Parts: sequence; C-alpha cells; structure tokens
Amino acid sequence: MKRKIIKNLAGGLFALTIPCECAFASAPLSCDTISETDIVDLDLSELAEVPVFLSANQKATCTSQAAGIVTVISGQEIRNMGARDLIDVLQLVPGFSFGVDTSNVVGLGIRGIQAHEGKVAVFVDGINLNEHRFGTTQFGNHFSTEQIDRIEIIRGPGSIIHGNFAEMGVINIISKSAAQINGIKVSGQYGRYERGEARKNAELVAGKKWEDWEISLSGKYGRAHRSDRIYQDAVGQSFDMADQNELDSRMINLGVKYKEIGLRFLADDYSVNSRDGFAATMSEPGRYLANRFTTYAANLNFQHDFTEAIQLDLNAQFSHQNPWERTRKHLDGQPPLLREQVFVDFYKFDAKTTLASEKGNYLVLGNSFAFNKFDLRETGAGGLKTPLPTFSDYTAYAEASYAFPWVTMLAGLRFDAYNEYGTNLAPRFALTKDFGRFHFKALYSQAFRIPTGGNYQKNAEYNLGRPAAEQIGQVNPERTYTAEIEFGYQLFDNLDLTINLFDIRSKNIILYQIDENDDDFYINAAGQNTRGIETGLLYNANGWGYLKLDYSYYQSTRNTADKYKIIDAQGQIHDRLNVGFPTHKVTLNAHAAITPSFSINPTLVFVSDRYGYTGDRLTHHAPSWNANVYFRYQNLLTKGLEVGLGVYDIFNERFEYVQPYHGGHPALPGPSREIMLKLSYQY
Amino acid sequence: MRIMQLLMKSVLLLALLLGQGWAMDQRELTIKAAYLFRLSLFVEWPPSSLNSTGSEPMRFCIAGDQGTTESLETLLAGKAINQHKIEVAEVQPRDDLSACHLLYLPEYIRSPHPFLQAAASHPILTVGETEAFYRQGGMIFLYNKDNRIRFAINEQAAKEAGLELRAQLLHLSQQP
Repeated sequence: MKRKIIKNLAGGLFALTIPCECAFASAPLSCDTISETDIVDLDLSELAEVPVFLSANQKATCTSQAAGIVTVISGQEIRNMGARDLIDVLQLVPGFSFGVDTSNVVGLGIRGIQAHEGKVAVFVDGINLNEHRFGTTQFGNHFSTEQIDRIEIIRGPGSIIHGNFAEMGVINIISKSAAQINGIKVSGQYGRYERGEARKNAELVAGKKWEDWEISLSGKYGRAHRSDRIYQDAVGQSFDMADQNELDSRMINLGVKYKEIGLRFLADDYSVNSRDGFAATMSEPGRYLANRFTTYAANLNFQHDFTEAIQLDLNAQFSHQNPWERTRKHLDGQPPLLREQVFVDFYKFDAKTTLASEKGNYLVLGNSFAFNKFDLRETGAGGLKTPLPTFSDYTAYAEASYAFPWVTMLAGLRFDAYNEYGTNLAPRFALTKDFGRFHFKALYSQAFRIPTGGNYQKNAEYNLGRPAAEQIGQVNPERTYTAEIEFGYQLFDNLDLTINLFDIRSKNIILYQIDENDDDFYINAAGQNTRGIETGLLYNANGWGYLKLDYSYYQSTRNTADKYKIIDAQGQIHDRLNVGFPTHKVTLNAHAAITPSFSINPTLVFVSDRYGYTGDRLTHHAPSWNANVYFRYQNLLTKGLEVGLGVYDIFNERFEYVQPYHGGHPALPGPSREIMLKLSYQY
Repeated sequence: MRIMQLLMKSVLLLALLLGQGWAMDQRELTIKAAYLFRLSLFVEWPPSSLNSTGSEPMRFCIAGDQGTTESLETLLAGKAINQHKIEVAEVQPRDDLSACHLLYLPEYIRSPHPFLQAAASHPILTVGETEAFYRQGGMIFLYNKDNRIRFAINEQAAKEAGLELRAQLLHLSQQP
C-alpha cells in the first residue's frame, strides 16, 4: 500500500507541478488516482486504510503540494448538474467570470482580471487548446462534457508549470480512460429558449481496454444559439438573436495507449457566427461574420519508471491551428468573403526526469523546446503581407519538494530563453501542511504572458504606411507576482470549510487598443493589481448527495489602464472595481439522489453589480440570480438509458456577458430561460 | 417581485435538500468492488459450483439496481478469480440464483430476506451492507467505521452453504 501510494502521490505531484502538459492525461491527482484506478488492485489490508469520503482537507492535501489554489470538479458532478457546456461548470468556480470579447466570442476572466486573451490555459487530455495566435479560448457550446472524468483547475498562476497562457489560471480537462468507459455511450441534447432553439448536440464516447492496449474515442457535433433576446448596439441598431449568432462545435478526441506509450489526436472545429459586430456597432443589415477556430493536434508521450523512485517522461506535441478565421457571409445568398486567415503551427518537445523518495520528497529536472510558425494567408486590406518571424522558446526547469516534520517546502525555478523576447527567470515557493482537520498553504509565484504572433502582427500592421515618428514598438512580456494563503478546516466529518486570500500584482500588462481611426494595436500599461478572498463550504450527505457553497470577492488595488477603469462623464466612479467583473459572487450547487436512479440537482449563481461600456457610454448591470435545476433518471425502462430534463435560468434573470474592458461592445445578451432534454444510452 | 423570487428560490432549495434519498458515491462503490473481488480470492466453492479448470465464469450477482450493476461491471472488467473470469449480473429475489457464486446486497436493499432465502439452497457467498442482512444469516457484512470500509464474517453461515473461507480472511475480519 505504502509503495503504491507513494508512487501515485509522486504521479499526482508530477501532474500538477511539471511543465509538461502531457502528464495530466496520464497521471491524475494522487487521491483520485488511488480512488479511480488503483483501488481495485489493493489487497484486503490495504483496502481497510482507504478513506471512503475524501474531505476537502484531504483533497487539499493532495493538491496543496501543487503549489496552487485548486478546484477539482468530477465528471459525475458535471453530469449530475446537467451542464449544457463548460460555462455552466466554470461559472461555479470561485473568482471565475465570463464576458464577451468581441463578435459573439465569450471568454473567461479570473479574480477581476481579463484572462481571455492568453492568460488562462485550457488543456484537454494534455493538449493545449488556446489558439496560439492571440492566446484566447472560446466558451459556449464548445467543449464536449460527456467524456469528462474530471476538471482540475488552478485558480491562480500556472506559468511556471504550464508556460505561456497560464498567467492567471489553468483549466485541465481530463477524459475518462478506456477502462473507465468500457463500452459505447451516445447522447443527445435538445434545448429551447422561450423564443427559439437553444441547442441541439450529439456526443459519442467509446473506449475499450485489451490487455496492454487502451483505445478511447469521444466526439461532439452540435449547434447552439447564444441567446434569444434583442441585441442593441451603441447607436441604437438592433437585431433579434433568436435562431441567429450560432455556436457550432465539432470535436473528435482519439487516444491510443500501449504500455508506456500514449498517442492522442484531437480535432476541434468551433465556429461563432456574429451579427453583433466587432465593437460598438453591429454588422450591416443582411450579413454577418463567421469566426472559425480550428485545431488539429497530436501528442505522443513515453513514460518509463526505471525504479519506483526514478521516472523518465518524454513528450512531443504538435498542433495546426486556424484561429480567428473571419468570413463575411450574406443572408441573401451572396458568396462568402474571406476576410482573415492565419495558420499557426506549434511544436513542443519536452523531457524530464523525476526522482522521488518513499517519503514523498522529490526533485524534478527537465527542459523543453517549443516554437510557433505563422502563415499569413489572408490579412485583408491594410494587413501585413510579409511573413512573421518564428517564435521559439527554450525552457529549463527544476523543482524540489521536501517534507519537514512541521511543514512541506517546495521551491521551483523556470528559465526561458525566447528568440524574440529575451530571457526570463521565474521562481515559485510553497509551504504546505496538513494537520488532520486543519490544513494551510502559503504560496508565492511569478507568472508571465509572452506576446504572441498575433500581438506582433497587429503592431506591425499598425506601422504600415506610417511615418517613423508615429510608429510603435512591439510589446514586451507581462509579468505577474502572486501571493496566496489558504486555510482549511473540517468542521465535522462531512463538512469542510476552506478560505483563501490572494494578492496579484501584474506589471507591464499587455493591453489591446483601438485608436480614433479604428486601427488596433497592443501596448504595455504599467500595471494592474487585485486582491480578494474566496471561500468554499462542502457538505457531503453520506449516501444521498452533497452541497457546495462558494463565495468570492475581489477588489482592484491598482489600475493604470483606462480600459479597465469605470469612468463616466464625471471621471472614475469606482476605483476598487474593474470593468465587467462583479465584486461578489456566490454559487450553490446541491445534489439530492432521491432514489438510486433518480436525482435532482439545483444550482444558484449570484453575481453583484457590474459595469460595462456601450460605445463610450458607461452602463450599469444590476445584480443577477441565476437558478438552474436538473432532473436525472438513470436506467429508465432499460439498462443504460438515461433521461435528463433541465430548466436553466428558472427565473428568467437574463444574464448578460459584459465586456471586461472598454472596447465599446455592448453587453451581449446571454441565454434566457431554457428547457433542455437530454437522452443518453450506454452499452 | 424580487422578494417573491427569493422566497421561491429558498423554497425550491429547501424542498430539494430535505428530500432525502440514496446514492452510492463512485469512490465508495469502487472500494466495495475491490472488496468483492479480494474477498472472493479467499473463498473456495465446491467443485459442483465451480470447477478448477477455469473454463466457466465467476458470476457476481447484484441485487436490485441496474446502475450499481453497470458500475461494478466496469470496475471489475477483465478481472478473474483463479482463472475464472468475473461476470456481473443484476438479479431480483424471484430470479433463479443457482448460477451465482456471489450475491451482493447493497445498502439500499432494506429487506434482504427474500434474496437470502433465494440464495439459501445454493453455495453462494452473500455480501451485504445492513445489520439486518447480517442478523438474518448473511455471510460477509461490509460496514463503514471511521470513514473506512471494514468487514465482518458469519463463518457458520458460509459453512452451511458449503463454502470454505480461508484463515487469512477470518483473521482480517472485524466485528462491527
């Protein structure tokens, strides 16, 4: 037992601490590893030592050594709540907030900071799905949910582990293994708003293990609509979003594993149609813009244990992306006009060695080399016609953890050498300790956001045709310094409370700008700081359900960017609040299994006031309560048949996606009340 | 209007939270699946029930619930007891249990008697989770103590069914 747990613990630690995303797919959190994969292989005396219910403290103990504030959401919880997409899941995470970027594209902000553009990394089974042109990730009927085993979320800096795009957070989606799937599951969703179709999706999950071989396949094909409400732009033009502004998703995820070798292919084709336009005014009548994001990626991993204590991990990753392909389409049947098309090829090679002791102490040494190649196929009038440079990054890293009797100490150091942006040395430190019912973590980490090829392209385009005196330089890397403290206390055997505080200081922040001629470019602003508190209460009603109650609060403590300030004609009216982000957020998710087959799962999300802009006019958005309830019946009439009925936004609060910066785009109406039926069958 | 909505929200939540039901956590079920597998390794069935060639499957019968059966089937996929590949099947009290080698009665089976009666005339290892099961002649009682699953053994009941439990199993058992 001891050896197995040590090995799993080390595997879990590697997964969360090493800058090789591939590790996530094969080595989940230590506690979960034992629960899901290895429990059946324990002998009787070992089984007697396995805790049935993992308290938040125990989970925190597993994740605390990752030197991050971590949320883990299981696939079971996702299916219990009838999540329509990842927005339903991630809106329950403390500090997370969704807002419109532009053109019907919705992204994520974290702890009062706009993270959508390259500051939150999203992985699916180790493959990074941020588009490598600007670093964004897009939400809304995008990612499939049926295949998810769990989502591991770092609600804080992750750059030292995961490199660029992880400055403010990491979302790691881990699919079920072939052995867990062991069959085929098909499911379909159909949802309607009050005034139109909400979504129709089909998903497939299949997997089988034959001795040393494991094969899993999942896929999604579907369409949704952002809203059924009326969108009004800054000059008073409007259109009915019902049955328009489509969100089309096609995703295939194939994993093959043979002994120590794992190979994964992922194809993601996501389209976002937009009549709401890029900024203050909507598209001209009779036409709309189709934004398409495609990723074709492959990941090859080899993991070898020389002994229980020495592990080698080699990984090669490639992705071919076509992000933000923008095509003007006409409602009257005129041929479409391709406006923008840029391909990005990403290559990454990583090798690391881990030495771990039976006491859980470890040392990791590794290095990686990555580069992005850009191919500017169509950049439109005024666009750059000359090639972009290839952006490369060599990384070396080391991390060590040692458990003293009174505290576990972790120290890590990451060195990056970029061909375009110089070098960077980033440290992180963590002190953690679990005292049984009580645990604490004290964390400090540097994080960074390196300019992307898209940033480079925009500034190069801005300079085209301008006299030298008006030209701008390329932006520099942004750096963030984050301190976090977490305390956890198990009030009763099935009731846990965690509280964490954070202080984020970003310098040289990369900021999107549009000038008076509608020419866009990027600058570095001096800084943006936030701090706040997040709390979580988990009640596990042994046998019949659970209840999660989370609260998060942030305040701005420094803001040098007018884009993020709340300014009306009289000047800045709030200096503790950033545009688009609620100060307070409260979420509740409860699950009641009425019978072994039938369950009810209500969700409630409260967000406090937010401010946004419509054109240059400041707008106030009242607090909103968003309530969902999902009824799930498993094995209805026949084995494997499941029926779910969800009512979302029960009270028709009509949440709006407020743009979390002053870009002029009015708040985008979100879904109104929706009724969704879900059918699935597993055999 | 706002107060009305708040009230409705509160009532909805309370109603849901007070509606007590039952569900087995996936982790808990995984631990119990492991117990079913490991316990079976220390049991000898009479040759009439299970020959030594390994040609026939070891049949785990699960009382009552398709969901639990399905999960156990997944968890125990590919497992074998002395070369006998494990098969998992759902059974009801009126079913013929003669093909079962192990009968598992999860906690939600509040009336174990009909199942125990159906199994009584066969060499079937019965595993249950309620005190009623143990009192009424069940052989292995799985119970939760200090957030850990333990097991207690009714050796006499096993002997009467023609099953032989190895000493190591008896040594590891703990009375609740």
